[in-house]
Amino acid sequence: MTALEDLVRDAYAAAETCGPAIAPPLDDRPRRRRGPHLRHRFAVPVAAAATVGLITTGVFQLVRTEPEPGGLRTLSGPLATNELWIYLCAHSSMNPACRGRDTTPEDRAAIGRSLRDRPEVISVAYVSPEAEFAEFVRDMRSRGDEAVARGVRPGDLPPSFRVTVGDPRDVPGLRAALTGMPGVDTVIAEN
Amino acid sequence: MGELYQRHALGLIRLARLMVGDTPTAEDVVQDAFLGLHGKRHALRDPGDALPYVRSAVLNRCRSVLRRRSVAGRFLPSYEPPVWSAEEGALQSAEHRQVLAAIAELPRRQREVLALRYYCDLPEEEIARTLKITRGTVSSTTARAIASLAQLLEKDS
Repeated sequence: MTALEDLVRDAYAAAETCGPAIAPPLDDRPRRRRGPHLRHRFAVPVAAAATVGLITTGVFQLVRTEPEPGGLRTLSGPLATNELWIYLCAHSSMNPACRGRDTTPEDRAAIGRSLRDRPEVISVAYVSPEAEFAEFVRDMRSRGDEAVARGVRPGDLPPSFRVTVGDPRDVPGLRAALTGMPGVDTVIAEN
Repeated sequence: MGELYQRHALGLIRLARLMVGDTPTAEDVVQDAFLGLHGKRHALRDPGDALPYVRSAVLNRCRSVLRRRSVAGRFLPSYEPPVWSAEEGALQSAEHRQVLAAIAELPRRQREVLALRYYCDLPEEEIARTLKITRGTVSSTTARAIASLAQLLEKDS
């Protein structure tokens, strides 16, 4: 590694510090000056889904940067390795398997039942879109991300199941079993 | 898709920003690349393929942006000053700004290789896959880029 290579690396790192801190949602930000090259063919249908991505990013950053010892069930608590978040399909989901529809009550009930029936699962909590929204806005405001909080609308967040398993080694198997189930958009297991 | 976006969008925006110079365009480029994934279900089915695919897509879109700017730049409103320019003022260190400005003068392929290697810390094999070139080309392009950079910086100083 030469001194010049080190300098290039440092310069890139410096450029990063003045770059964006969080990825934006697709359409929930004020229009800025843009070139004429932009085509957002799917902008409207996926805007909310991208917001979900942003939100999840924000949540994980929050989890990583502000651990609160002892808290397991809240968004601002540490995300244990034995926890899975199962996001359900919403009309804004990007997952083609969701077909742009909200999870039906029947599918939701079936997912909940199959979770509770599994011996490795200790607890299952359903989080409604309204609860996700309220919690997210509160957490973003508490860390000073007012712009992010304002950019999210009720209904942008899909419902989810938060699942805790007794043994973290069961997480990959459970994740595989849930992925692809009717009504499931994304399964997130963050270590 | 949501997970891929959540994990990699920010890093890709930063990469795109190094190529195109400003954050709004970089954000658009990355969003556009993710939207492009919509029609590439094979990439989504194999998560191992999705990131290299979207990284290539981001760089391809950066090329399109730069090409359009170079052709139509005179007739269009100017875009935000690039991060490495003096008027942008975001970079505190004059030396870092000088290095980034010198990198901006390099040919496009050399800039891509430098960013993937020294910013994304990708191994040669991954860079080759992303840019669809051979490992030998990655290696020789990097060497040429560093040599040109040394010359440019010497000229400036």
